[in-house]
Amino acid sequence: MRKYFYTDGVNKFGPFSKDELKSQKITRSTKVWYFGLEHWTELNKINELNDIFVAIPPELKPLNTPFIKQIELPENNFLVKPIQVQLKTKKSKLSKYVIGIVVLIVISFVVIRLVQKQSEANLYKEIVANSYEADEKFDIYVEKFYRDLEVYGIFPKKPKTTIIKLSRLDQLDNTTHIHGLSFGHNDDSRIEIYINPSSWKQFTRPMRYFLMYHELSHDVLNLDDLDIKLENEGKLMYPEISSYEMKSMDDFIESFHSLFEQHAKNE
Amino acid sequence: MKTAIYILIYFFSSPAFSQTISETDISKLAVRVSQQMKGVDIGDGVKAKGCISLERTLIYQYEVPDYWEAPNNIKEEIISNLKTAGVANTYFLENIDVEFYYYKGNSLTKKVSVKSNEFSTFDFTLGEYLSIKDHPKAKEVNLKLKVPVGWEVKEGDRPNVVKKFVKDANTYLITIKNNVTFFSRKQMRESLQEDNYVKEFVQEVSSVLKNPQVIDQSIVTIDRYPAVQFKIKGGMENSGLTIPIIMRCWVVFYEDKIILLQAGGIDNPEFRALEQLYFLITNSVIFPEQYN
Repeated sequence: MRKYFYTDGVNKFGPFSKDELKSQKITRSTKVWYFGLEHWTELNKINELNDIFVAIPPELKPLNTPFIKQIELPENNFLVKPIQVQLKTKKSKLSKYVIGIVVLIVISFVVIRLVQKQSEANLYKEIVANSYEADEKFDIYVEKFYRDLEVYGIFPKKPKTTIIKLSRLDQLDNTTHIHGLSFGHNDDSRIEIYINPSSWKQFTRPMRYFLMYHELSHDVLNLDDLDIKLENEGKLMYPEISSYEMKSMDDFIESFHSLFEQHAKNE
Repeated sequence: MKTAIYILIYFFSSPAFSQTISETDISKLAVRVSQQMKGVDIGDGVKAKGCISLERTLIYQYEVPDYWEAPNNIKEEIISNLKTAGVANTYFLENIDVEFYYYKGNSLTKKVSVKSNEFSTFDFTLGEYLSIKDHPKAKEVNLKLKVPVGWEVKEGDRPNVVKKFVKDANTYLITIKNNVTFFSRKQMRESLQEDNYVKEFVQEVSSVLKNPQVIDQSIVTIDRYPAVQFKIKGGMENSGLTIPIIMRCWVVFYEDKIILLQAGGIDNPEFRALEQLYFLITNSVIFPEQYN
């Protein structure tokens, strides 16, 4: 009677009769050897132990981890040649992609922000370096702006530092908002606005009021530009003030009243 | 034809603070004049027949000889002579029309009618535009208006008075004050629908007078800007003497400014006569910025 040995990969166990082997802690892939067999061979490849192989339930597949899928092919009405295929879960792959994309986005964002910050810093330096005091009484616009805010019950802290100067913004690179720039946005300690002298000279009186109240709204109320959409045309925070050539003082007045009223409600 | 236009002038002196005389007063005046002039030979065969009144019209009647013919410029000569005599202004101020009837027998051969305003000695001609742009008290308001000929332009003494036009005891002031915020014309017209809102402005201007009385009040437009127009009268105490003052005012709402155009003087017929001039001045107001 043939005696069988098996191994767990470290130790070898046996000899066992075929019946004794059945009761051992073996799996379908446990390697078995008997005298006459050239190599340690997996149980499932030994025809004479096929009845043991069939009696052993398949191994459990761990969740979300690579597993060995056994595809059993019929051969002469017997399942004798299991094929091993290494697979990964779809979910796992997707997660890796998502993580990769997120990491890429974060890195890109950080890089862009750094470049932007550097660019903004350079732009600011350039604007300040080229700025100069104007003959215009810009402080009148500031006084009126605060006065008009108070009418709507808005009382922002008036900063001690107010810088409103002319600077040739249209001669700078990387600027799209060339009529005026506010640098006091989200900084309650100062009002800092630079006005493009060529725009100022070209602008009508209502346009000048639109521009000053627009920049002061950025600076004091921390409001952003509106999208360039038809529905926003005529509003104070619409960025394309150069298109306001036909606007009157009445348009300006009703525009800022509307903005202040909304801002007061939001506050 | 000096004799043809010669008339007897009997009138009364008009006290400075008096009101316009009534139709009854004119009627009484006509009776007195008639009594005095009736039958008086005023030369060249012309005799005074009498004087009657019809409402606010005085009618002088004369008997002329058959050879008499009215000169072509009889009306101009009558007005000129009355101005020279110093009574034309009284007819004008008292709003009295005058007619001259010339009879040959019982038939009326010539009738000359002179309306009271034709006796005016005031010059209602407006001169050049005066701009207050960049004036230190103008508070950025760009306004121009015409100055009446013969009136003196002076700087305002009080803080908000930009300019004033002065002639004798009559003044036309341009005052500019700050409003609480900007108002569009549409917003202001809506506000002026409220009586109380209008009342506030009228009361503020009236507060300079003792026992102020609003004579009239209306919402008007001055060069496309909404305004309240009103007339008030009351007393103004000065050195123990209360002088009756009358004012025609316009409060114009311009962006974030209140512009007060204020014409005032002693409450007498002269003011009423000059009111027409004040309307002309105000009507000449232009706010040029809106047209840029």
